[in-house]
Amino acid sequence: MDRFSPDKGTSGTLLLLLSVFFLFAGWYGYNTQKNKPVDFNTEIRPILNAQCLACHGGVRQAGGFSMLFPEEALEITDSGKPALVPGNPEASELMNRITHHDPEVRMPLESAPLSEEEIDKIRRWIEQGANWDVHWAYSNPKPANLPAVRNKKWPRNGIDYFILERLEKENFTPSAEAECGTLLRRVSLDIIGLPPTPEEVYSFCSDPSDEAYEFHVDHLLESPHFGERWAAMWLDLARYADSKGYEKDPHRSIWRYRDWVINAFNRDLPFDQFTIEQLAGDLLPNPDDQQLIATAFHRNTMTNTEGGTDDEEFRIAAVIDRVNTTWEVWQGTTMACVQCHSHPYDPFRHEEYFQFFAFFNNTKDADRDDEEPLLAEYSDDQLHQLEILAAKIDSLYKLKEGTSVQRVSFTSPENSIVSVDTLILLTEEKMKAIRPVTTPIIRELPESERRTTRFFEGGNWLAQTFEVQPGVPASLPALPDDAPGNRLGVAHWLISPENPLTARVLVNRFWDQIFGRGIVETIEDFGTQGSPPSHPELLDWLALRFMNEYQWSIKSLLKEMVTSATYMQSSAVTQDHLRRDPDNILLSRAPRFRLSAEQVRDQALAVSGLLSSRLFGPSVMPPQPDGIWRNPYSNMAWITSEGEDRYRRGIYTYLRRTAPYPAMLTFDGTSREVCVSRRVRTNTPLQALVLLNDPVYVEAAIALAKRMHSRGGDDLDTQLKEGYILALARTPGHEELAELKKFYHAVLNEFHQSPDEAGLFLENVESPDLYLASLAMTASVILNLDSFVMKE
Amino acid sequence: MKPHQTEKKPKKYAWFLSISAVLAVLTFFVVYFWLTLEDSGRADLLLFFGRFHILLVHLPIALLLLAAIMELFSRFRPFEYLGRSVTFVLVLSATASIASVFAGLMLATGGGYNESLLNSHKWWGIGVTFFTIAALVFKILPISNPKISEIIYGLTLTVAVVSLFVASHLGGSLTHGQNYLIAYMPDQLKNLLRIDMDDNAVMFDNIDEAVIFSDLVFPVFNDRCVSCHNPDRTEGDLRLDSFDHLMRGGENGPAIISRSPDNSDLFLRIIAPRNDDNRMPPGNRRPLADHQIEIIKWWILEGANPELAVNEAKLTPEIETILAQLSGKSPESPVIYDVYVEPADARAVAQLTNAGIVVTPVSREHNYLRSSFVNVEHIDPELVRSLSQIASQLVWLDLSYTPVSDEHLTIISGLHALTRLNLNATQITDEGIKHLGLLENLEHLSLVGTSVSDASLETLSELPNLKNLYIWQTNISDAGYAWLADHNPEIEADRGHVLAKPDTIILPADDEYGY
Amino acid sequence: MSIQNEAKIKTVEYVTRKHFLKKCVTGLGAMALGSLIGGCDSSNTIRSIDGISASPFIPKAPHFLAKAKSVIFLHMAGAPSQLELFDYKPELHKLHGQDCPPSLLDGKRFAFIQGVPKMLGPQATFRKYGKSGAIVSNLLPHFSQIVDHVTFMKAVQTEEFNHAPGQLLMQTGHSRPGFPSFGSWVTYGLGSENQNLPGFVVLLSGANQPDAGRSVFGSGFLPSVYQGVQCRSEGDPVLYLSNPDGVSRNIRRMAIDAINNINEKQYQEIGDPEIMSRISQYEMAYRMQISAPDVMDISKEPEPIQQMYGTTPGESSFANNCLLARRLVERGVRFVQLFHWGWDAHGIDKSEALNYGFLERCREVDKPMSALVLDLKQRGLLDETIIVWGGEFGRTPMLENRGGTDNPYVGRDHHNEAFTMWVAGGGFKEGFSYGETDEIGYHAVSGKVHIHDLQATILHQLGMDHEKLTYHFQGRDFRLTDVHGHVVKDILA
Repeated sequence: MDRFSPDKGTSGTLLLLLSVFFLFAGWYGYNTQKNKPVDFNTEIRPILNAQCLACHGGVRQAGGFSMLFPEEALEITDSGKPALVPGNPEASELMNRITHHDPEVRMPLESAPLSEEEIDKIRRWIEQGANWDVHWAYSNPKPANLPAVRNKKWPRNGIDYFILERLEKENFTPSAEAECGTLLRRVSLDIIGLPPTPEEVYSFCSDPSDEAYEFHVDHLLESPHFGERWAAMWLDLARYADSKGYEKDPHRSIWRYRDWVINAFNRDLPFDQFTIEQLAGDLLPNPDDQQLIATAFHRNTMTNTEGGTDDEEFRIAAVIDRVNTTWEVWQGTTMACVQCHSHPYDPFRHEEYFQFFAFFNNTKDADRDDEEPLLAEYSDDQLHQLEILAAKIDSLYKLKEGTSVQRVSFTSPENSIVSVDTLILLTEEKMKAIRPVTTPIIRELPESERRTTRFFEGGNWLAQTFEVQPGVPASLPALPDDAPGNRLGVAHWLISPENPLTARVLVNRFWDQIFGRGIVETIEDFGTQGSPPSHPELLDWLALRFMNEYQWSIKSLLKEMVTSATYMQSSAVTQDHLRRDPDNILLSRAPRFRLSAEQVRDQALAVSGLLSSRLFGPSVMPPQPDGIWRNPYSNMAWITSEGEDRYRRGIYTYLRRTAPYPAMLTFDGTSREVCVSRRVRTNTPLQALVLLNDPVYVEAAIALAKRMHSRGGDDLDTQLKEGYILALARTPGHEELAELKKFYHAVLNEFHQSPDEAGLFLENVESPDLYLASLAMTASVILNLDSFVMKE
Repeated sequence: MKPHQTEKKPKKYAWFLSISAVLAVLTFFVVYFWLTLEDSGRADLLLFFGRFHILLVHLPIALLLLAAIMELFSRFRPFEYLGRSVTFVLVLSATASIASVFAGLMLATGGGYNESLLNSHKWWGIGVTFFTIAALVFKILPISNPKISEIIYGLTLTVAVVSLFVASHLGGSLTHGQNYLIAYMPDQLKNLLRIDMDDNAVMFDNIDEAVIFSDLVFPVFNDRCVSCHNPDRTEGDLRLDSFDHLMRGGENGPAIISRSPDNSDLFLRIIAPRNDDNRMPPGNRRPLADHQIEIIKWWILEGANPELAVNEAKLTPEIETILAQLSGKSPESPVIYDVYVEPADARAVAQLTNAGIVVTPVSREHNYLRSSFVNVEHIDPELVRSLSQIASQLVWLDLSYTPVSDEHLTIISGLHALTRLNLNATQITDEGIKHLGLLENLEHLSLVGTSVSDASLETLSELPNLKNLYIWQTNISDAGYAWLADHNPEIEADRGHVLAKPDTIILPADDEYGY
Repeated sequence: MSIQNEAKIKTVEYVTRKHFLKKCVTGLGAMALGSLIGGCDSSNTIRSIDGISASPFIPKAPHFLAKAKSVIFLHMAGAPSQLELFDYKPELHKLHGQDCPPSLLDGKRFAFIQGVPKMLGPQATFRKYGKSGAIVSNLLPHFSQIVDHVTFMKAVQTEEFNHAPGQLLMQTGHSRPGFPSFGSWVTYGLGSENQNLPGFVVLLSGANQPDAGRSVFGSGFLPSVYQGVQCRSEGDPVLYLSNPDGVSRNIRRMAIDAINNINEKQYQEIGDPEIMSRISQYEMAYRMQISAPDVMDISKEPEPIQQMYGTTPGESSFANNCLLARRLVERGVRFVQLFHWGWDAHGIDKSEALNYGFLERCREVDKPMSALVLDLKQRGLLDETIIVWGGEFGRTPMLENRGGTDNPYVGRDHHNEAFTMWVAGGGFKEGFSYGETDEIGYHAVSGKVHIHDLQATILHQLGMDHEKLTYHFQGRDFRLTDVHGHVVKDILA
């Protein structure tokens, strides 16, 4: 029995060789797997935001550990051990905590442990040095050239390349082009907020070429109504209202600011200048009246006239609102959080809020009931009258001093001779009687009366501690060095090319208005908790183009959007769309969503021919049910406007904060107490009731019927077709026409049986025109169709 | 000579060659796959092979032990022959342990294991492989002095076996938790080895005799507080590991003030809200359970003395329900919601809802349903019959202000789970009420504005769980009302209310408060 | 990516439609789906494309087992004086007319009091009533008969001492405008059972609307569909409810049929799910035209009930609104909010003085609020309906001396340290009083209940965890109770 003794040398060496080989293969596999690069923004930050920052961020630093700023995250925590040791996961207490088996020690505390995949990502991230990339929105937009696409024929401009690249990646084919009438109605509502006239529809549909389309777009951009449509968006941001808010909510004359905004859009004031004049118009070298009126942007804050309120408290509330609004409108950042604590997710410290607050804390206005400082404007003839009266007073004074001027005859009201002094008083009374139009504006306090700004402990104005100097947050570029250290400096800082946010945020707002959904869906929040951009390169490309090629011109930007093939697609929704892209994030078809409150009203008045196209002027009071205005302390009354003012565009409707116009509210209009970036679109029975029974829309239906009759003659079919073209810029389909005719005859039959009903409906009981009444009811049906209140 | 022996030499090589060939092919495939897959594929591949670790790891355990045992026995006369095959077994165990180390490394990449435990298991495992190979090498490669190689071989083999034990223990803990093995160790053995296991869900069979402090209160302290309030670690120098120490209190005075929980520092701390710094247990730990807090409060109210037994103390309703739960008995009023019930058939619910009947779960934690016919204009028996499909889930039903009549009640009587039924302003009569006798769980029944009369009182009084009965604007007479009151005092019947005119109220003269 | 809640509603509609067609037979998910589809009326005129009328008001399951299913909130705008109604302070009576001790003044902020005001003894006589021995003043003779059904909270606290911010804090949890109101949060969380009526109805009485205007019943950043619908007693109960003159109900039915037929064709062509929900909204509007006036017409109630509440048909009186509230809750409306204005007893004007206007207010509310509690009790509805009564803050134990001089009439200034509210029904204790103030009713001594705590407790009784009822807006999950509030367990039965 010999022992197993193979030739000792060969088998041993062979075995050794094998084991060495094995060890090497294992080591190699293990290592390559280990150092696959981890992207902080897309893979790690979402985990931190969702699982950790609630207790280890700006609000709370449990265990002395905060992951808001990279340097803080690397500090030694209360446990005496550093939570994060770049390059060494084993030594990082964080790793131990997230993989610990004892639920009372394991992080995230008292909730489900992280998934294996998340833990592995964090381990690899720490191993690779725990680098902390800057959030995409806080790093400047990177120039990029147009992406390569397979279908070269489809794109019409730069936008389409980015959209098509994404569509092709998710193997979608773009939808066919919308047919001419729908497209023209869509672009007309988007640019000026009004429907096209039948003549425009006929002319475009007869030659629906690109040139014709561009001609129509240019024509719309030049229309004076352009400013009215886009002012609606801006006044939501500026929280414009015709009353001061809070309890008494008395009248506030600030409509001159609305005129300024409409005018600024119409003359395509570049957005950088638009910004400077509104934030710091008063600090410009000898600003004209228009630039002063522009500063009323921040005088839209509320003034509390309730008895017994502390004015300083509500002055500070107004300044806080100005800081929050500036950050939301221009930077898409929820700075409001930072009033009470460091921002929970984004890199803004608590004291940085009050450094920015200091820029706005030195204006003259102080929550006074008379809302000084005001800008008074006299109309020309008022100026003329004032000159006459002033001259009269001078001559009276001269008379008083007995200088030898020829006697001037005066006729006092009772033409009895009265003493000179009473005459002077009388004339002064007359001068005061000439009331100018006043607009609250921003004025900076002179050096001598400047306020010192202090840090609010916990955001409470009663607990002010150390003094702070004006400054901008460290996580964003510093103030341009040539910029003055005041609001003007801040305005320049916002529009400087180094600011990574302004152009992107504004381009995103315009995109949201046109396409119904921002490239960044949360247009008010570009921070780490906001939704990431669906097409990041497109957003950066458009932002850079808006700043550079277009020099901040809004009309050029809008033209680029509405002349893109993406925009010109049909908005039909296929099963495939619904299954794979229900919210139309990829823009596989044109957007289809409900019109804004202003567009719903304006369109109904326009198609029925009632709309007054008068621009500018004070707010008007179209009919509203009584009893809406019952404010305890003010006797303001809703006096329904007569004549043309009854049919003015929605933007001119008087807006009282405590009791806004009901039809506007029903279509998601806001009460403008705070800056509103997005109106959430709803679909409610109350909207149906407004379109069916609100006197404004009943009057519009009757007027439309008259127009259908005058354009269509006596033939019902042509009348109905005219009605359709007026309202929907297209002719009715066969079934639609049949449905309308069936309804028309049924109503006619009803009215035949009880003619006085028709009389009541048309408000002339003597000779009720049954046909008109039936046509008006049919017109009301058209004005209630889903397509009429939708932009399709 | 057996036929196979003749080609002995080549066969030995054949073994080696075949094993290495197989291994080579295997590694070839692995590397090939490795290069083709992208990242996620590779991670999965690693985990795929990694999972074999659990399988492979048993081989070295068995083989290495076998090798050691054979080596040991080969030292004795009758088993000498074993020595010859030890090398072979060692080769197999070395190969197996190498493979299982690789698999183990791959498995670890999946993550999700306790860091420190994983590390130590890893290194001990590698140790096993290393020493096995070392033992093999010294076994088959005789260096100059056979004596020394023998000793070293023995040494390395024993070290390999020892590290095998440690590695496998750690491995076991990784997967099944530290005390997997000792969980069901008999108590005596546990006490012998002084292992303390905590199980606070203690069920009392006879709760009345239980001593409140030692049986109900102290276990809570022991479970949740003593870990920081014990002899060697006394937070706030308060010890809770015994009654005397508890009563001695801590750095900010007495923890317990007998009879007044509101001033007892300990009590105030256990009810403080979560974000309150001096809340106990501190930081983000789970607060005490509601029933534990109620028991402690009740014990303090009853004078906080150590010997007081449950039956000697005054019981409040809340305490009774808690004691009932602690003794496993469900409290007498059969709160139906604690009995689990299957979710209702979705199609039936969809059909009902589609017909305008409101059907919603009573809460997201239950499958019990509530229903209301408020949106339904006219009722056909078919509609009511469809209710029976959710009979075992439906507990609250509102049929008020609907044209429901007696015929419908025959169907409704089948809804055995009903606890609330509202038949206000319906056309039901005494005839219909007879059918309701079957609803044993009914607790709340309102018949306001129906033509029900004394004839129904018989059925109503027999409903076992009925507590609230609303018979305002019905034909039930005063005599009937009185009969019901004394026949079944459990039922609180409401015959409607009237507001007396102010001037007719007789003011309570005794405690005059006016000035 | 955080999905905007509006998109959620759209996805609910879309998912519902998809679910309904395909995955309709599997377990709990489908059953939750059942609750998602919600009521579309079975009357044959109902448009039944796919039978879907998913609307935001579909009733939803609460987080845990609810004690109550609806709320009637009686907000006494102007802040009634607790010292004349419930919080009897014999010590204050002794100090009547003396100077206010400085300890109560320094570091404190008042709306109008300046310098050193005088103490003002209770302007009413008090007695113990009912088995619970609750102390009520002689100004509420009817209420004193129902004290055994009620839980008093005598130490309610707030930070605000001006009307508009105070009312906003009580109704929206924040003292600045722009946040959803109580009723919006509850209908957003639970939907509403009656599909033919708004889920959140607002009824105003007294000379004027609440000081903070519509924002105390607005929807804030929630979709506007959750806004309080103000029902009026004169004219259309809901704005534009009735058809224009000359348009008969029959014509309106034909018109809606024509509209929805064309819409349906449009839907076949371009497939946008939004069209289908608009179709169902028009159907709901048609049904609302019948159901709203019917429930609002209190003359349908029998005479004894009108007597019990003390109603005056045709007016917008508090009594009418209380009877209306009971009718709405009985028909499955989730949240009814009443405001009764005129309690601001400063003593500046006779219409509000403690010895004139205030007495009138007490008469206006005493009988109706008591009748409401009893009427719900006798109908078997009190235990599932929460009634809350109170103002936005209390009034000072001191006589108000606006501008340092005495006011023409007797009055008290605003006071946020401690005031009294009561709740009834909805699983609250019966005949119970929680919380105490010091001997002159200035500071809260025990059982403090902040407004956020009250809100959290009411949501709790409705089966909702106030920390889980959230809406994602501007990067944060907002709540009614902001970051505060805990459930007051001691007042729960």
